[in-house]
Amino acid sequence: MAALSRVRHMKSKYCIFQAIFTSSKWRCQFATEAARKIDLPSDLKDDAQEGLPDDKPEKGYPAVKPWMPPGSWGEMTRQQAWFWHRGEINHMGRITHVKEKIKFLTDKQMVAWKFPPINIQPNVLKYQLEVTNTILASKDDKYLKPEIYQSVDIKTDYEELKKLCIEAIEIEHALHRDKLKYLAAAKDGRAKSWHALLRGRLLTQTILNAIMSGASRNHEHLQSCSVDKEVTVAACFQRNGVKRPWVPVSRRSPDLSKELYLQNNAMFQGKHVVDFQVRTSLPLPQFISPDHEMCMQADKCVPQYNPKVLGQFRELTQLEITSGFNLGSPNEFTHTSVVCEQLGRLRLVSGEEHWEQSHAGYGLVTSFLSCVAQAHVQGFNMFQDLVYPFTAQTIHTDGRTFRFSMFQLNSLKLWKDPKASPASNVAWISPADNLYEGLTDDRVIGFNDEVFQRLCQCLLLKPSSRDGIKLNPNVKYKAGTPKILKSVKKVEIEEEVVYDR
Amino acid sequence: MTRLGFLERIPLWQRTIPKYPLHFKGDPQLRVYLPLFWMKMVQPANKFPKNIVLFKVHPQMSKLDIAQYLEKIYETPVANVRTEIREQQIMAPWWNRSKKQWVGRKVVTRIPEKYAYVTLAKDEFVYPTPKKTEKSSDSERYKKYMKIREGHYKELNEALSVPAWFRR
Repeated sequence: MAALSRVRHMKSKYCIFQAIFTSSKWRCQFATEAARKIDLPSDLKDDAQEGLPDDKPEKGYPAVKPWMPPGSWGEMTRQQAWFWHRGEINHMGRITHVKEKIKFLTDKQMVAWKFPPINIQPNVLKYQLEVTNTILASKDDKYLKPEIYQSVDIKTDYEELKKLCIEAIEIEHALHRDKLKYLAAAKDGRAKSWHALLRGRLLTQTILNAIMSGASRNHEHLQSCSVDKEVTVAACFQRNGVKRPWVPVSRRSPDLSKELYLQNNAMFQGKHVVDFQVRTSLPLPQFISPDHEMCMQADKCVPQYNPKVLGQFRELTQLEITSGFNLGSPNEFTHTSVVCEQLGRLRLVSGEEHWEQSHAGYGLVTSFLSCVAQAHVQGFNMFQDLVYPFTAQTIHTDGRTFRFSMFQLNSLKLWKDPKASPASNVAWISPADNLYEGLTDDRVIGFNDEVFQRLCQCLLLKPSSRDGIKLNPNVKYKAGTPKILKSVKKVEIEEEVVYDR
Repeated sequence: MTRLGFLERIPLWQRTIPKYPLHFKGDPQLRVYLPLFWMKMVQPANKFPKNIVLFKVHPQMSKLDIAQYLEKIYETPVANVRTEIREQQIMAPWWNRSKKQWVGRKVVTRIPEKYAYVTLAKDEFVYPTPKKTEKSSDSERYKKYMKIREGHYKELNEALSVPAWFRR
């Protein structure tokens, strides 16, 4: 046994010795050192050796890697911080095409918490605000509108648009559209939910057509906008404060260590269908400055409870990010989203308070997912944060009752804890209010001017570019434009032979 | 052997509920006396809101059964119920060879347990933490235990008249 161990020891020494002498780098070093040591006569010395310095050359050590990467990382460990930093620089930084960026993020299946806009669990609004890192703008429980809407000019077209809207409602009721009179009693649960949805969509469509066609004469963005029906919007994001689900060792990737699997941020996936989506070529203006104190309150939005405790579900799903249109379309920014589901059955079964929370949360999450999807189309993601805030408007209506929700997305780095990233998002959600009371003798009664003004302000808000800021700084090749490869072979014609005929 | 036979080995709270026929409108109402349903309140490991309570329930109870159990017997209105099945791994008994599985070096069997997260509509409940009794510190208890153990060994050695060389 001792002899065997000695042989193994000698063998290992020989292997090391052999390796040293076979590598060319070491051979050169040995040769130069050996030549320096031997004192040759002057006629045999090589000219090259005279130039060699007598002192040993200084060895160049690589730069010392800092403990943490540049930026603030809060309570993250060193390994976790470098993992995210490498993702930003090495992976995302090198991809310049939008489609490839989205593919890099979504080309995997993983266990993600479901985050649908329609959530019928009780007390769900607080949970949705915490997961989206959002502060609800309200004063003494009263709804506050963003101040930018005061600058929207509706006085010139107001009377004409009002007349068009009333005519549209009356015509829609007069036509043989199946039993629209049930909409007059919003709390009547006898109407089937899908019937109510269909009727709501028809009425909403006529109202929107009337307003947008009447106002497009004086508002350029309505002339070139795109309006689509039944659009799927999906987005995924990672949120700090929710632990990742436990993955058995046999299913873990060998490239990722245990520390990376135990991070305090979990994946959420939201997907839903928007009934109408208005898109423009420029983004909506920001509602509030990102430096405002309301946008720096991320410490108040930390998720307190595990989503499982609040009745949420998670599943193994393919991640998805879609903004509702094919990449390459000139109108890339969502102006307004309109949803018609009113959750009437929930109102009957669970009561007014429960319905109010779920209904408000519906508009909030719709706007949030719209903002996140828009940001991904412009090249921003959880590795490359936003350079300017994204804004979205959602109108929640069945043709008679309207609720308006506005959202401003300030940061996509929701996976960082509040100490590292204090930026928070802001939402404005109005209470549900009726546009008109009802119809008698085919005439609209109790038309609400306040609600109609808010509706016009939403649709007529002019989109604008951000002063001096490039809208997609992380993208070189826009989606739709062909990617030209660098390695194109050039054919050089040295001699052209012309044959006699 | 009684009429139940092998079922007597399984405790009452683990027995499965026998299948009963579906009820259609017009049929006489089914009545089950002393059903095998049970619910046990459990202390949650994580932080819970005040209006959510964790129960361990019979595996065959549905969400409606859980809600009605609380509403009719304890008169507490329930807003929502979310159920979860967790598998408890235990060492496989010798008589249950068909349901065992190798996990590393151990042979385990998995017993499904059902937990229910019940959201109360009006009430609030916080699981009470038991009061800590005045206990001596760990080191003092260890010394006490060792003294008692020494005393037992002394008695045993004297009873068996063990020579001093072999005494512990």
